Amino acid sequence: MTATSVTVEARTVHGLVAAWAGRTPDAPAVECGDTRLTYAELDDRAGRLAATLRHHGVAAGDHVGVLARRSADLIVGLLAILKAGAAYVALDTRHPYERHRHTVADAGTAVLLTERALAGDAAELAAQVINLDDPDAYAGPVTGHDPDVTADSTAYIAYTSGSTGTPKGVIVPHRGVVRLVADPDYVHLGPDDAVLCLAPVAFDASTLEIWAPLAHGARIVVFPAGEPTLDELAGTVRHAGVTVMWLTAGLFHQMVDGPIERLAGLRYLLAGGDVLSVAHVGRALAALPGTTVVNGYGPTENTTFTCCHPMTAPVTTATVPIGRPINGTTVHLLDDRLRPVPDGEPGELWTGGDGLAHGYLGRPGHTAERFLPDPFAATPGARMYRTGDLARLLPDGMVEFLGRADDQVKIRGFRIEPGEVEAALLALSGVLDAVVVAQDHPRSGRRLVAFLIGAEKLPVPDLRFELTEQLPDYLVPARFVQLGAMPLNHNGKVDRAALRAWELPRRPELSSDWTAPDGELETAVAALWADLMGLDEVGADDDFFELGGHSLMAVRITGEISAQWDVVIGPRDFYANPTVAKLAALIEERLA
Amino acid sequence: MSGPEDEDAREYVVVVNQQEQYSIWPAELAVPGGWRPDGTRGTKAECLAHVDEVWTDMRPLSLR
Repeated sequence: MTATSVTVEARTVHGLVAAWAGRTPDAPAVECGDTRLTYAELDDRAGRLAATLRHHGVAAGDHVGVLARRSADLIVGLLAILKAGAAYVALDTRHPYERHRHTVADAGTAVLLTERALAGDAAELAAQVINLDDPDAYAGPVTGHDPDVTADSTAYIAYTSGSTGTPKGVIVPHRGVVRLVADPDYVHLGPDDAVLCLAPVAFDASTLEIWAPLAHGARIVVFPAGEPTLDELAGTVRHAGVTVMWLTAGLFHQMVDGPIERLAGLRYLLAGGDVLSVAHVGRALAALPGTTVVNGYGPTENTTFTCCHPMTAPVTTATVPIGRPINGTTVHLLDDRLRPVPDGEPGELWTGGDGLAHGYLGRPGHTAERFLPDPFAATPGARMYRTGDLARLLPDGMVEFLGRADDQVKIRGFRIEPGEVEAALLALSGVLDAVVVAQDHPRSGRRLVAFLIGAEKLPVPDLRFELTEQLPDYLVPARFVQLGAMPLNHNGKVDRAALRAWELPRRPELSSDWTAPDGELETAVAALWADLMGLDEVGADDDFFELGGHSLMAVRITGEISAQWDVVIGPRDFYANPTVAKLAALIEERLA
Repeated sequence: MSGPEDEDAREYVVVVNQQEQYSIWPAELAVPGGWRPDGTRGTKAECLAHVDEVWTDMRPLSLR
């Protein structure tokens, strides 16, 4: 299966942007809140910042860290790094400091771009720190020419969950990004378009959101820092005249269940990162008559998208197809002996072409295991990447995604190797064995559940707290279950299927209706109650005593609260505020 | 990824292309064009361990 092959010449990402700075210097390039940059201003600021980077010792081929929230400056910073001939390594500001430390050490970044509000953390992470919101960073003239950057040069390194316990850096060359954005066949962009930038730069949907508009003289609408509500998103789409937007599957589904009609100005609504529901795609198309809904599929190792399925009519198949390989991309469905499977049969999805990453930074063996010679390629010496996804070809030539061939799971669009979480759990004291699986909970949705063996009874709130210090929140299991022994299958291996089907003690029927915990504090308090009571979930309005709580449990909860938040909640306070929401409100009050 | 057990027990060869990128290939199949065997043959784990030793500069040759 081959898409139209495009020859991507030795073109670079910043080269595409520079072309528009020359062609339409006064056209809007970036907007964020009240900040506006034209193409000329973007190019100038990025050129000055690139000079500052070089002044700080950044040379072609270097890796520069970025720890900053969404802003217009962030876009300037990424462009400046590329202009300096270096590659960007984005740190997710929501991740714990320990995670940043690992990433910076693994990527070997000596210089970090950040913002003044985050500079405290940043100072410990890199030898040199430059603040994007410091006017001095742009004070110098634009000096020197862009160093020799080719299509093979690294544009960015994206860290993704690693099954062996540490995240791995995917090395993405300029060629991969250019192949994604220069001549896309899944979306057609022009200077009149405006693309919303919402994804964290550490997430590879940002590659599309940032570089696709800038490669077409279009405008980036950066959603200001912070987590948006659905209404705020819809409001921005309308007020800023956004025409193209990407939503991760979970957010897409929520939007369809919410203010979807307010997105009527969109020409393209792209969604993916996880399985899309046929019903939601149908409702989106019905609500947005002029909008093409695109199912975008692909691993980071093949630069954001591998297959796309643009839709203007409701899906008639059982699942939403992932469509066809995009420009410059090939897809092969193979059996375990690397032979193509017959049409319609399930096979493992391998992909080749210009989108391929160079591999995993500092992991040659792991790279060789996943990037194999491509026997189907016209170019000698080409490679293909093993996605680990199962798929089949539908009669109309579309590809249908069927699931994973291994243990990898997707939760809220995040790609998770359970092995990474297991390794982190095994490093905690008292944990003798750990197996992590994804379970689909009828109300809470898909979530990670950790099954543990301990020498003694394991203190679950402590385990959760220690994991939170090291891992991003999507890698911290929602529930922890201590077992006497792991269930084994007939091969003597841990029976993961049994663990996936394992039923946790259900929250009893209560007098109050179910309300999901809202916000960080309520969520944490609800998790604490569920951890200590061993329940599958706890709602915001659930009454402690109705859930089966008793005085000893109350003492443990108040003890944990004082340890975690450094506030004192006495027994009387607790009994007077016996729901998650009330207790969280009290903690918040005491913290203020 | 840990594939099916028989896949891990099969014999592989280590191969390298013009960009000096290394990979592995099932010994039973013809080596695709543009790749040459480097002489190492063994289980998947043995071949990958060899790659870990010899592929010290992972940049494509054109960038070195």
